[in-house]
Amino acid sequence: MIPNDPIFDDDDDPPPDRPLTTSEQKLQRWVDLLAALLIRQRHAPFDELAKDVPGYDVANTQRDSVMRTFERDKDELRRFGVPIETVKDGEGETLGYRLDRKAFYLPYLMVSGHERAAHGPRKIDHDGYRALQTLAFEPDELDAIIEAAARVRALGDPTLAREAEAAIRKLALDLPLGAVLEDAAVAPSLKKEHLIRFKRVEPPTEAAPASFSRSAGAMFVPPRRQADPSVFDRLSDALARRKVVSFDYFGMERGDRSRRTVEPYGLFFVSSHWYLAGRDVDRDALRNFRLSRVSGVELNPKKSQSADYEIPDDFSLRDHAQAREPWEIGDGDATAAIVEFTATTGATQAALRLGRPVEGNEHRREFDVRRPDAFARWLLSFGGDVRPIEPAEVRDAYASAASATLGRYTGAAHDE
Amino acid sequence: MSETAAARLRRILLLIPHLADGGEHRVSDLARAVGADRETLVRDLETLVTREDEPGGFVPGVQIYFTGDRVSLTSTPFRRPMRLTASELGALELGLAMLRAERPPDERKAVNGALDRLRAAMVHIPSDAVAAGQREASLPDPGDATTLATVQRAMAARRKIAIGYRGGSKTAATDRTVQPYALVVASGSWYVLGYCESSSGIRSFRLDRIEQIEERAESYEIPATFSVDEHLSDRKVLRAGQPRWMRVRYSARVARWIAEREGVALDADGSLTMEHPLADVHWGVRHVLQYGPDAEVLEPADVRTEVVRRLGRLMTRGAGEMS
Repeated sequence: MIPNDPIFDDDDDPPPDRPLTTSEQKLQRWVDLLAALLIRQRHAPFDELAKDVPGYDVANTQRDSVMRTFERDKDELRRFGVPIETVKDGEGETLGYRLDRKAFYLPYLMVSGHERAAHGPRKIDHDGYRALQTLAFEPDELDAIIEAAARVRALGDPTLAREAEAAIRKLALDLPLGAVLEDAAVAPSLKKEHLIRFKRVEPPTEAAPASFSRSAGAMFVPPRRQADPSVFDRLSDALARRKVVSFDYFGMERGDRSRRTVEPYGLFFVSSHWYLAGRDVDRDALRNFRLSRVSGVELNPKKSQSADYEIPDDFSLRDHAQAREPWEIGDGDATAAIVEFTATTGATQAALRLGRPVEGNEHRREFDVRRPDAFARWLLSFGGDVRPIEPAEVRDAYASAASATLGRYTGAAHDE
Repeated sequence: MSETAAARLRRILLLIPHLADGGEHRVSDLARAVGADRETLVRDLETLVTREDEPGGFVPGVQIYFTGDRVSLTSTPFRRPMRLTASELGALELGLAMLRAERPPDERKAVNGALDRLRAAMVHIPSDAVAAGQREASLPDPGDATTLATVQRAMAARRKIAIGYRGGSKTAATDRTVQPYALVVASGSWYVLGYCESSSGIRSFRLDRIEQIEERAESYEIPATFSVDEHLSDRKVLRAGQPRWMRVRYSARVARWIAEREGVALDADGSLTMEHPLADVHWGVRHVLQYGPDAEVLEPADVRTEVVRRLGRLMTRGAGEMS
């Protein structure tokens, strides 16, 4: 049912109140180009597509310049995720462009066991939509997706939160996922932000899994100093396009700010903080940078369409991002140190889960130590409920740390 | 107003499928569905139809009709949303990876199933696309995954839990009945915060120190006056009640890290003297000893005494055993 008073009647087309911005013109070209590709089954050459895209006005503009605009639009749409294919003949000559509808349109989505539900996917009886497949989600899988989105939001990265939200909104066209604005029951520091939280809007009628009403999501208390959202956005952009970045970094060792030039390899979140992993160009070494200490990010403005560097094939962000204890971090070789825990407090029990077991003695663990001084301080925190067994280097570091600390209290030590 | 064309395209490709069923829709409902305000939405729709030149052979892609607060639209090519993009899937993948780490192996089926389903809904990318996998995230270890799952189940059903808990400085576990009020991830650990019937007060329990756990049949209610905020101090989870304070001086070698974490300024000489809420003496001892000679308890006297006693004992014993 279509009302008969369209706002812009063909006979009375009102002039726009203002000229369209460049960005709006681009948006129109994108929408027109996508429409032109999607209504065609087969690939079509540019000149045919251009007739359907008023922005590619070949009659009034230089063809070269229109082609350049088209090439840029196509590249930008691909970067956005649209799978536009270039179809070539055996000689490598471009025959045209194609957008496979099944590769573009979201499949129909539904909840398992709800095939006849009123709000199952609205199948569209129209060419190009009939062949779409249907994906069935189990109710507890939907719960997992909602919880996953909440976890992502708790990470405090606005880019990620936006992406997760966009994904859920797409799924919500068919699936019973509703957005609620929630400002209660979140950690105090998050309260003011009016978080959007998704929830299942329809209780499953049969055999509701126990996890359905799982309202017991954890609250995340973010660190006091968080990264600036613009830092996330710029670094994400640089990563996606493989552009070298430079930024001011506050180095904790020296306590001052310096300009660093880095090839970004990945972003990782560990121990409540986000880090950038990348090659520090001046030091020619892999380094981690805590994002909350980064400011003034600039991307290399040159050759913005091409990559500046490659991430080495043997670099695995997953391996790199493993949480490390302070004594494990360093460039030197690791020494295997054996330690015996002499009491069974909650603290030593937790420590017995770290490192490797020592055969034949359940009170002993073996640790890889690169920095004996840092390791000795950790051992000291057990207040004497631990005894380093070997090597001598670790025993000595422990004894001298204990002695120096005691000296603080008995007046035998001074600040350096 | 500096929104990119890509952000607007994403919204438009989501908006049209909501609209394009031939019926009329309220602008406010649409705004909610796509997560934008009314003005933004109207501006998007206007951009779609405001043409500066004669459409000519323009594809009948989209036609829009406004009637007061209602809008309808016909569109042939945009009646389904676009598949999930690599970055949208990547964000949810990260969340699912975190969720998988929290759950015991036998409860990961839903997480893995969700991942398979989402991957099937992702856009099929031609070969020239940018590789994914640029982000990783991990949460602190909650200890035994069964413990976390049991707490979550009990909280959702509002059932009490019986736990065997060994505090950081306790050498044996004690049995407690707890009404779990909240799960909190703070300063590198998971905590369950709740009313401990055994000690008649609100207490926090680190999940990795819970040795046994069982869901009880009795239910409970969370008092309306309960607020997590009161139990968080210096970004750490505290027990209820008036805490004592411990004053610590950190040397210039470590002070910068402490100052950043605690959000305070350094003293003029580059060192830092600050107060921490003190849950118990043993916690205070463990806290300062991790910094070795770079931290010294100034007050209270009983924590100082305990530090000295422990270090003295450690050194005598160490010397005796090594000789």
